[in-house]
Amino acid sequence: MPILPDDQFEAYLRQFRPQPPEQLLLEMRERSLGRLHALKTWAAVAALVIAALLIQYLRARPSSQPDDPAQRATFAYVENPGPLTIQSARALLMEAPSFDAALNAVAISSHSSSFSGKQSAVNALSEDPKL
Amino acid sequence: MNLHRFVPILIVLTALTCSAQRNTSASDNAALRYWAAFAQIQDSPITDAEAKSISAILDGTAPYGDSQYKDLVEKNAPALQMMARATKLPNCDWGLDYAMGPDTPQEYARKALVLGRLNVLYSLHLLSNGDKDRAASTLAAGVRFSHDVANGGSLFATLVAKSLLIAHFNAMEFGLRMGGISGIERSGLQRAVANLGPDGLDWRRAMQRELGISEQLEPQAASALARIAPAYTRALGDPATLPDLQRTIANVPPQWANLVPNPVRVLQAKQGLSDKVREMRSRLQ
Repeated sequence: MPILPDDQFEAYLRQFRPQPPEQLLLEMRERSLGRLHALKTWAAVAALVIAALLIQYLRARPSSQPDDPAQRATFAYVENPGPLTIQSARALLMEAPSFDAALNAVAISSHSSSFSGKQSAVNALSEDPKL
Repeated sequence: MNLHRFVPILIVLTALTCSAQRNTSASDNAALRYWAAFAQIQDSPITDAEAKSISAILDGTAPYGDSQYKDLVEKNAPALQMMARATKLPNCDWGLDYAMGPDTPQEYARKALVLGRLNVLYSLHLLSNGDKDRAASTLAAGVRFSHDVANGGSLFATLVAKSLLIAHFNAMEFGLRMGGISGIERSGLQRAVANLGPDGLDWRRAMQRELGISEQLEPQAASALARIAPAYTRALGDPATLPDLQRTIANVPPQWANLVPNPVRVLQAKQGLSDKVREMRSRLQ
């Protein structure tokens, strides 16, 4: 660099302006950590809100379990048809409002064949006539 | 005779006798033929209205319409004829393995319910076509079959048998009202109903089995139910002892008392069938 006269050199130096100092790396880390915490808090709040809404929805939804004890016994068996045993037959006899209702509950799930819009005759025969 | 020769001959003879008995009992077992009949059941599509109508027909509150059910019953005639032949066998052993305890299968009772009800419709089909002989023999076979369903079974099988007997009695009443059953056919039905005995089914044995199976659940329940079982069978023989039975049940912890079928309901079912059997006997006189 050529050696300038003092006044020129001074003018040259005046071109420069002080810059604000850069933040330290440590401060940046603290800030990003703070942001991360805030994000986590919001995520937790969002999760809680979603969970609360879901619970409310499930409670408000009409139960798929029928109110009628006979239907409930039927429902319970049809939900878990399995093989008919002494134990499952006994449970039906205990839960159903009548023995006829218990026979009906057992019979309903005995055949699952479907005939495009029509019923299975075997299913109809296995339902108790008193219901 | 020398004892050394006699003993081996005796052993061989005993073995041959046992083998012959085993073969005879297997071939004479109606339950095996009933299973074959279950396997032949044919399904058929019906409308909702027809399904409701079947219920009313079986209940004896609606007339049978042959045009609606002709196809269904004719399709199932081979299964029903096989069942009818099997009812003539002297023995019916469903082969229930009660060692399985509460897991003992009861599928046969469910299938029997369908086959028995098909038999009622078949008898009505025959009656509506004027085939009185076959209608009466079909109903008599149905009564024997219903009785066999309860044979060696628990309370559930007995209730299925009761439901089938009443459906057959309703069909008999229909036949008698229409004048479709008379003379020789009537005597066949008289025999079938007379063979049922006064109660129609053996409710006491069924309840003994039912409570006996519960004993296999846990030892404490067994001792509780052992106290109930004699009182239960006594109440079935003499309903006046029902309050004693109810007190016995009330003294048992609820978790075991809940294993006991409601005695009032069982007595009502038993009484309902006894009344119907008595009524049917007098109608067939």
